[in-house]
Amino acid sequence: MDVYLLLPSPFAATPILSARAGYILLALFGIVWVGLGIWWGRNARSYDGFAVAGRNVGLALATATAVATWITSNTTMLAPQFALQLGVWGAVAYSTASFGLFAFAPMSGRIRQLMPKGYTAVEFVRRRYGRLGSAPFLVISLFYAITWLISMSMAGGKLLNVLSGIPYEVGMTVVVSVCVLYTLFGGMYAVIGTDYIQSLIILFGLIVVAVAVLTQVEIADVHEKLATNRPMLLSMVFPAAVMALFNNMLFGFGEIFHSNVWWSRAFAMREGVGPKAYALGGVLWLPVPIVAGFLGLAAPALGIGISEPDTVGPLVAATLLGTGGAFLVFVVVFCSLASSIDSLLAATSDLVVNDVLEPWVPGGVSDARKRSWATYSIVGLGALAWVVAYQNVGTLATVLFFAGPLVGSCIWPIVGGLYWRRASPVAAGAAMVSGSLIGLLAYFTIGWFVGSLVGAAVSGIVFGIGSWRWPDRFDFASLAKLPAARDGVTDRPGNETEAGR
Amino acid sequence: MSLCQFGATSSGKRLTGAALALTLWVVIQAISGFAQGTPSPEDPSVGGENAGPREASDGGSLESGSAESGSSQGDAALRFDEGVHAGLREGHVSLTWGPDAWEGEVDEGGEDAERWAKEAGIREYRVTDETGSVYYLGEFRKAFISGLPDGIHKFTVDGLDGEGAAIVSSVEPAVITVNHWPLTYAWGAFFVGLVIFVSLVSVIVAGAVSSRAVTVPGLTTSEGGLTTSEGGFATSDGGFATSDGGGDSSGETGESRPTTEETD
Repeated sequence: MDVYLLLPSPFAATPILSARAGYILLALFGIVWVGLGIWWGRNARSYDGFAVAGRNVGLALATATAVATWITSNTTMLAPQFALQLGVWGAVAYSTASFGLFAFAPMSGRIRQLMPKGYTAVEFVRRRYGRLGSAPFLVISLFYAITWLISMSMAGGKLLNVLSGIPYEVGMTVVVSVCVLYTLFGGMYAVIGTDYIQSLIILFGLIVVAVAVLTQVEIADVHEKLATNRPMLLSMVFPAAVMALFNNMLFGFGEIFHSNVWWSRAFAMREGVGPKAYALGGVLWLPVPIVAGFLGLAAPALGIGISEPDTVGPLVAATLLGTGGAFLVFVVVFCSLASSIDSLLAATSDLVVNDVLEPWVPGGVSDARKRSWATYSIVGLGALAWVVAYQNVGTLATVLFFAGPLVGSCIWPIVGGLYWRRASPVAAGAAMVSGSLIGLLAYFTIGWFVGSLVGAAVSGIVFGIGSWRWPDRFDFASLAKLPAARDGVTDRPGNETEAGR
Repeated sequence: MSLCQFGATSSGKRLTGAALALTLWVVIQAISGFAQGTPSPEDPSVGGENAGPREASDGGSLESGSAESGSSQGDAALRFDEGVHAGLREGHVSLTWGPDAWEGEVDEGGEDAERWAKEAGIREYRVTDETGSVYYLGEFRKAFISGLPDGIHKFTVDGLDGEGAAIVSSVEPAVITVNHWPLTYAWGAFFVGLVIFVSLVSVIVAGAVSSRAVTVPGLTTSEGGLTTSEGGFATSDGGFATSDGGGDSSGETGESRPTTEETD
């Protein structure tokens, strides 16, 4: 396997691995993932099996899927970038995203308890708040899911290009196609199953990188170099970094609380498993950005010239580890990409089927038809991601950060909706709209590092005032009842009729 | 409350239009590069006033410049794309450079600039500050520099030959003025974030504790006391809900909810 000098995109001329090595790895992992998807897909004949894996996922698989999904290519690329741009606070700020998993742990139990037959986050909001709440929430959910999917697809193309010289279009196409294929065959079974393997590979790779960094880099040297040339990276009063701390944490809260990626897993986990799985997932995820962030801080001490900050992590890791490191980085990156893209495909497909298409059909939709729709929507989402990503516009985090204020504005309506009877549709709708708009205003006028913070703050104030001024008296028991259309049609195993139509 | 009726699924019909519009918007955003970038140093809003000599003088016509400049290595000097970066708030900047005689945007000039560098014998570039500290050493015409404190910083770039000797240098230094956000802003944002965080955690913990309950069909007991109601799910108006894990007494669904048990 050839290893070349590390060079960052888009100035890359000579990649880490040879293209041939990259193609072999791609083919190998592609075949394995698709094969496993087909194998696990045997259990995904009903829509319930396909969408929520039969609602019987145990602790080990549940924990692994939480970790694997939350370790995206952004974790391996943006965390070092955060550290290189915002210093020690930057790495800490990125790691606070794990707090979202901790906070979601008790919420997942509550979700599973309130809606034992639920499928999506939008379904909860629709039944909790009606159209006033679900309209903005569906828009935000779809926007976030699609932009995340596109940014991950773009990341796939860029990373494989940087790492192995595989043309962007080819790498992106292969990554998207493989994920679409195995999600198509196996649904949530395949997603969670592959996540389990991928999380083991990712964590093993990161441990090796961490050990290599600590044995080859003197922390004192890093400190000295930074203190001399880049003192703000060590400063505890770095203004932008201080502002970014809670912003990033709230971004993580918003992402997890609102996204169907996490809700669909909560529905899929066996009762009582969710809280433990998400808490364990948070513990396992917490050190990852710290390790990755240290790579960013170590770059100056290692004399590695950085042209593009979002490639500093893979660059430093592969420099320290040589051929084996390059191989490891490639595999870890590919697994992180796949574990996120497959989750997005499955969870967004649930949104399309349950919240966009199904409401159009009076009387409900049969299980078989929903299973069929899920297939088409996964293919459609993959095609959409491919078409947009093919144009390769924007940086990795561009679109995703744009979603920060939007998801931040969903935090309070979700938390309040789960626990607070007074939380009302007017309050929820107004909170999401006002939080999104003012958060975006702050994003554009001040900077990305306050967008989620402002969105969450404004949303919280509006939500509190709205619920006080126009209180609701919601009956949580109603959430446990199946929608009339679904009852007797879609949730009875073996019932393929479309009663009531 | 009518807006909160159970099974208000018809709202999805109206939402489909919004979803389609959203999708279209995402596509447009990606196609046109409409979205705001991350805090990219290349972003004019970060770079502040752009008083670089190239843009001030010739406006950087890529088409007109790319043809001739490949053979312009006789003007053996380098020039930063943007000579002045003022008012940087986050203390980081990306510097790009190219041949002094180059009339195009060197960042996009690609192959012509690379050819020029090769013919000029340049193998690497080195970016240093006024004290001689090296901030970048590599073969690309772009350096990302971060962690700069408040003040004015000047950087020069040298083109090095295969043995590391400088054979060309920048005609003028890049002048970077860093002016970090006021700490009052920073701590203000920090405080707001802390308040939100503590509030959220309090609500979630209180909600989780309140919803811990032992239930039997038709009867819900909570840690805070015994609550019975038709639904058996809530404590009081405005209060946190207790467990809803009790049996579905309404019988509308025909399904019996599990009898529970601690859930969180």
